[in-house]
Amino acid sequence: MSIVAEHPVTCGLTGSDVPYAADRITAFSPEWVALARGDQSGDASLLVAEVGAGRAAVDASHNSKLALRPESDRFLERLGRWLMRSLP
Amino acid sequence: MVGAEVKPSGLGPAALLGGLAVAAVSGCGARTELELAVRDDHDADASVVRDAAPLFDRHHRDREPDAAGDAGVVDRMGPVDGDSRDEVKAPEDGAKDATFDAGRDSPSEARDASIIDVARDSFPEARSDAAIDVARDSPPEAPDASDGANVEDTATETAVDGSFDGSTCDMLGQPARRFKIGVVESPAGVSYVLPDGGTIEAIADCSNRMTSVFGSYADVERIPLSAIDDRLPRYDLVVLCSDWAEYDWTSISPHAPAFTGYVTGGGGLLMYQPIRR
Repeated sequence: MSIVAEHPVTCGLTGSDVPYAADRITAFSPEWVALARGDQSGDASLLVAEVGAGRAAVDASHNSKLALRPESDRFLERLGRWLMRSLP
Repeated sequence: MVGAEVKPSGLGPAALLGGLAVAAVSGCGARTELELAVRDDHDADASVVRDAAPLFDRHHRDREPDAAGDAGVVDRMGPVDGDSRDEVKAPEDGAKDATFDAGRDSPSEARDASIIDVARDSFPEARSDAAIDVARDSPPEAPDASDGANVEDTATETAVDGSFDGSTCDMLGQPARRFKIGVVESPAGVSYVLPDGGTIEAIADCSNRMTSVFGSYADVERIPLSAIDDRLPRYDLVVLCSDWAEYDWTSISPHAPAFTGYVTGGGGLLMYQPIRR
């Protein structure tokens, strides 16, 4: 997975931390920012957006730790903190 | 390849100019589109209203015909990612077989699915005992949220001003107050098979994950589907767990205005796998 390092959600993480492109996000409007993409497909696996006063994220991986490629806890924490506006 | 049939959002120019955010998500031969409306003037044009109002809309307009195997309970058991999802589905998918086969022949992250890096799940940030103790001992400010206060009212308390400059990259300090996280009770009645042969409800698994990650400084509770319209504003973060769309789309999508209003009002929404097979 390739990630955008210059974002509070994904900075300091590696490709193995972020959502695996199980379901591929193949198209999205410019309001969304893709923070993780599959190395080969180029399809996004994580989108974030500022929407009005709030924030939203679309995560293409499974939420369970039982998944074959679970997203890491430290990723989920960063994402959650960002969504709760505890990260810039 | 899986989800190769990528189409534009289908939104009209007016809607796009209004700032709609749309994503198309593909997997297992199905795809869906969802959107968040950020416009304030969407009721000026009926066609735009139709486009803008729903948080989730126009799902599967181009969905491939359902195959008989789609509804199999076995398919739905177990968290599935990448190849695992394909492997379970492909033999029964009938009309989708060609799509899956093509997908597997094309470059795919699915081939890496079995590579599990255990080390990545360590959590160096705010995960030391000391950090957790600080969180537990700090004065809880949760009543702001748990009392039903609108997220918009409290968002400024925890908002971190300024643009990202990299300085926050390696540290997640304790938040100034406790957060409140709501996990929508979906999918209901779905269980996963555990490695030991036992089972766990999908919603419990999801809720437990949130608690394990955020529990030191956040209260996590479930949101009954019947309470979506009323409860969302009290949470700092609302989670839609994997498979919600597959099982409960018809129950949740009518609440799109509530989700949209919640987010535009300052809430945070984490949406896993918004795709319906």
